[in-house]
This record gives sequence, C-alpha cells and structure tokens, in this order.
Amino acid sequence: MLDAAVGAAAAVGAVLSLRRPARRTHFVTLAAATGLVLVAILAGSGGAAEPARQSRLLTGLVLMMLAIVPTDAASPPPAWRREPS
Amino acid sequence: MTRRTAMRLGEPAAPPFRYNPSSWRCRVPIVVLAGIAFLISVRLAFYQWRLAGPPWDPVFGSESSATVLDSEVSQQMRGWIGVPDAALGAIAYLGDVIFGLAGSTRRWQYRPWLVVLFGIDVIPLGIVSVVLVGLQGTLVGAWCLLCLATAAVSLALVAFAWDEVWASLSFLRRARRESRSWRTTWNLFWGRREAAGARVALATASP
Repeated sequence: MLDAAVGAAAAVGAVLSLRRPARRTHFVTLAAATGLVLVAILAGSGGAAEPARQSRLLTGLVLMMLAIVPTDAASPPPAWRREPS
Repeated sequence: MTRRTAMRLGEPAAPPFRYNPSSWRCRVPIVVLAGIAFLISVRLAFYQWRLAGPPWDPVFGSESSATVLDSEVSQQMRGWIGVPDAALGAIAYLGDVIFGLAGSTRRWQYRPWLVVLFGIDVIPLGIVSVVLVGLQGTLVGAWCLLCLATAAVSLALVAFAWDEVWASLSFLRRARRESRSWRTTWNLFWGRREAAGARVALATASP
C-alpha cells in the first residue's frame, strides 16, 4: 500500500510538473521519497521485511535526488531569462 | 584537452578559470566515469546481497575480493547505514550522474546550489572511497580490484569536479563583494536574479 502510494505520488507529481503553472509539483515526489526513507529507517534492520526495507531506503534516496532537480533545469531560472543579452 | 577545446569554442569563461567548467565537454567525462563506477558498485552490491557470485578479480583473486566485501568493516558499515556499503556507493555515483547532467552550461551562475550539491556528492565520496581502500589493506588484510577501481574513479571525479564548484563559490564571493549584502548572495545561491549578480556575470562575459 505504502509503495503504491509513493509510486502514484511520484508519477502524478512528475506529470503535473510538466505544466508551467504546476512546475513545482515535483516537490511532491521529494516529500513522498523522504517519507519512504524515514519509514525504512524507523523500521529498523533485520527480520523478514529486511529486503523490502532496504529497497524502500534505496528507492527513496534515488527519488529524492531526481525530485531535487528542477523541471526545466536545462534553461536558466525564470528570473535570469530576463537577463539582457 | 577538454578545457582547451572549450576555450577554442569561445564559451564564456567562469572566473577564476579561463574556460567554462559547466560546459558539456567538461561535464560529460564526469558523467561517464560516474556511470562506470555506478555499474561496478551495483555488481559489488549484488554480491553483498548474494544475488551474484564473487566479483571478477584477475589481480588479487575473487577470494580476496570476497574477503573484503564480507569483512567485519563492511558488516559494521552495513549495520550503520542499513544497506550494503556498495549499494550506498552505487546511489552516490548515480547522484553524480544525475547532478552532473542537470542544469545548463552556465549553471555555475544560474544555479550555484545545484553545483554545490554536486560537489557535496562528489568530494566526500572521494574521501570515503580513499578511507575504505586504506582500511582494506590495514584492517582487512586483503584487496579488491573493483573496489580499488571505484576509489580511483572517485578521486578522478574530485579532480574533474572541483573547478566548477570553485567557479560557483567564486561567483558568489564576487557578488557578495559587489553588493555587500548576504541576502543578495543567498538569493543568488538559490538562482534568484539580483542586480549585483547580473553585473558580476556581465563583467565575466566581457573580454
């Protein structure tokens, strides 16, 4: 359930962030990824759920890195686009 | 070689350098090296998860590599970080790839935070790799060729990446000197446009 919710949040956040008015929606992915990492840390190591815990920790870290990158990162930030040429 | 080519192409330089360390010609080698180290680390992590056999090692032997990867030091690190150390290394190298590809060829000015984040990912990783390699020889008493290869890549990444970080910090320092305001510097760090930053950047672009 948690994994499906995080996956859905990441997908919806990523798709919405492609539209200019909602370009900061990719931070939803950051919040979901942080939650995933926290759940993995708080679960503690060992037990039958260990592979799932490690998977959540690593997936959360990867999603965090991807979510930090701005949607239109290849272009200057909007404020700098007004720079005189 | 890449720096000379960048200068020949006439890309705006990023002081104190006479070339642009954010150019693709400077960043692509970093991304390629980090990608190779990522793949090697994934292979080592697969062994630590027992999803694959001991890694290939024509110099010290697969047994020696397995000894390093199963060592007390490695187990202790696994206890601290919650995942095999090779897996965390793979994530860090993947971060180098992601942050290496993100941003324009003028990101040292437009997004200093991204360059600094990239530096935070690259530079401590290099230091940790060197420490781990040192521990191999001293505490474990065995060597692992692929671990040494990733440590060498980490050091190369530090050498390739530091100039861009320095260019960004230098830009912020010059903007701080120009504006005499920490708030302006803070705004520039986060990619907000400030007159002082624009003036400094314009002076940079001029011959």
